[in-house]
Amino acid sequence: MEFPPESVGKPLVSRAARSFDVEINILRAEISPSEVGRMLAVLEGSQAGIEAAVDFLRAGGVRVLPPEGSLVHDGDLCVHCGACAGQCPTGAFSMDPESFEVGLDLSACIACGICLEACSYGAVRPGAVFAGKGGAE
Amino acid sequence: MKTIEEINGRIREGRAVVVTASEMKLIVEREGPRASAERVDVVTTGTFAPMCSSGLLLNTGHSSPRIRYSRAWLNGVPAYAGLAAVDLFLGATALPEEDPRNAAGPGRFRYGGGHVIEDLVRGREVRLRAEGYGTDCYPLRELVRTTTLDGLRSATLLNPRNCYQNYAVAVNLRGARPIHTYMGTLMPGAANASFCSAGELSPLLNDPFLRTIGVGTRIFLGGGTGVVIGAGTQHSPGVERNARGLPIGGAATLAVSGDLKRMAPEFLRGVSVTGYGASLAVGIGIPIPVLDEEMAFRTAVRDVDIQAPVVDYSEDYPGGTGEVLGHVDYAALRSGSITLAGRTVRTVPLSSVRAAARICAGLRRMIVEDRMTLAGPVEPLPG
Repeated sequence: MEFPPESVGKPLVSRAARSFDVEINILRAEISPSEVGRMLAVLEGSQAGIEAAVDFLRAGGVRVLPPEGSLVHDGDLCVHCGACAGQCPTGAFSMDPESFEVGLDLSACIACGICLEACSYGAVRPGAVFAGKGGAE
Repeated sequence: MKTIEEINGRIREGRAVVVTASEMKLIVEREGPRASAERVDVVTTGTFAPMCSSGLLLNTGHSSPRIRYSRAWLNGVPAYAGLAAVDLFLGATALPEEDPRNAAGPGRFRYGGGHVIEDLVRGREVRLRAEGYGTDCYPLRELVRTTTLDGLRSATLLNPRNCYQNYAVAVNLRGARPIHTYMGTLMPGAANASFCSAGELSPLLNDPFLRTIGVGTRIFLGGGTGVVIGAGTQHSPGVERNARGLPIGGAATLAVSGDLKRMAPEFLRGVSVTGYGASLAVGIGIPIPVLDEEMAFRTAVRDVDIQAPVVDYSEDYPGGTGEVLGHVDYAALRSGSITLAGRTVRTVPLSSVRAAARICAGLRRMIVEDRMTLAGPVEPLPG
């Protein structure tokens, strides 16, 4: 989630959680010097509740990106060494023990960015979640 | 007992039995080394990983008027010009002068010599810029033009040290912060351990005493063919060995060469190691003739038989102390974690098993289809 400066001070997340009975597990949150807030969170609840919470957040000016936006794994550039899988803290990147091929399960990705540094072949690129973030890439 | 000549005769007649290193393990397990030696003629081995001591010897062809390069750059990466007029050597780790390196925190090293080599193999245009000081025979002082691999008069991959026989496992045991090494980023307290060998598929671990690998051995190199031209730099065959005869640390190395024009980008890749530098990942495969029962036994080596030394890259490696924290085997390294001083440590592979397996299979195909016969060593390597 990305919060524009005018929304950073508002308790939008807790209101969304309470109003729509959604559990929001915050994995990471930060405010940049330009006062844009970024939060990485897992939403759990009924499908209708989650959709209503996301609509509420968006109505409040929050940019909500699904986890598919965190990373791009380029199969053409990947050599399947497994350096990403060996460092990924959640197992989003993993290596198949039979085929020795690297796979990515974006639903487990917490956008920590470790894989971006671990890959020496340019096969992991930052997705929209990282857009405009100076430090990570 | 078989000779390489007899095996080559069978390859030409289409009768040779050629198996990959993975297949050979199972065959010897099932049938024993003696029967396997009678049945199998060649075992194909392979490895794919960053190999920094690699480079490209190229001749650009002459311009008119002529120039004698005193300095030259390919896509901004400097090449060594202290050779004849338009000969250059481009090293895999060379960087553009303007690359910030580690001046502002760990650099990303997005483009270096290895990437230029990959671009050439991909058929991409590369910008050549050169300076000459001007002579009566070579009057031109400056040249800027584009070229491609096809446009080069010759392009020879010339790698002074590749294909390490075993290698260290890197940890950061005593550092206070994450360290950036050629073995990747290592977290303090030995939170991760990186390793870089194809293990049981690796060429020199399938012929640990180099009985069949020496000067003149024909190999798979970067998707094409090449040849072993000698011992690699830092060749060190005297390293301590285990009961099976396998060195328990980095030991033998190879110097290899081959025609870049016949290579493929799948097996030659530019590498960017954060905080360390640029390099080239090289795919190498070596066909090992199963001359007798002993070679069948050697090529049956398994990951669990191979031990690698664990080295602290926070102090012992940079300090050159030679200290080793202990040894672990490749079956454990491949399992995802090892035990170090009673603690579980995650392992990070840098050598691609999938690519090594593809090299074993590709080399097998080359031999079965009679596109490659074996060339035995004309001279042994120092052992």
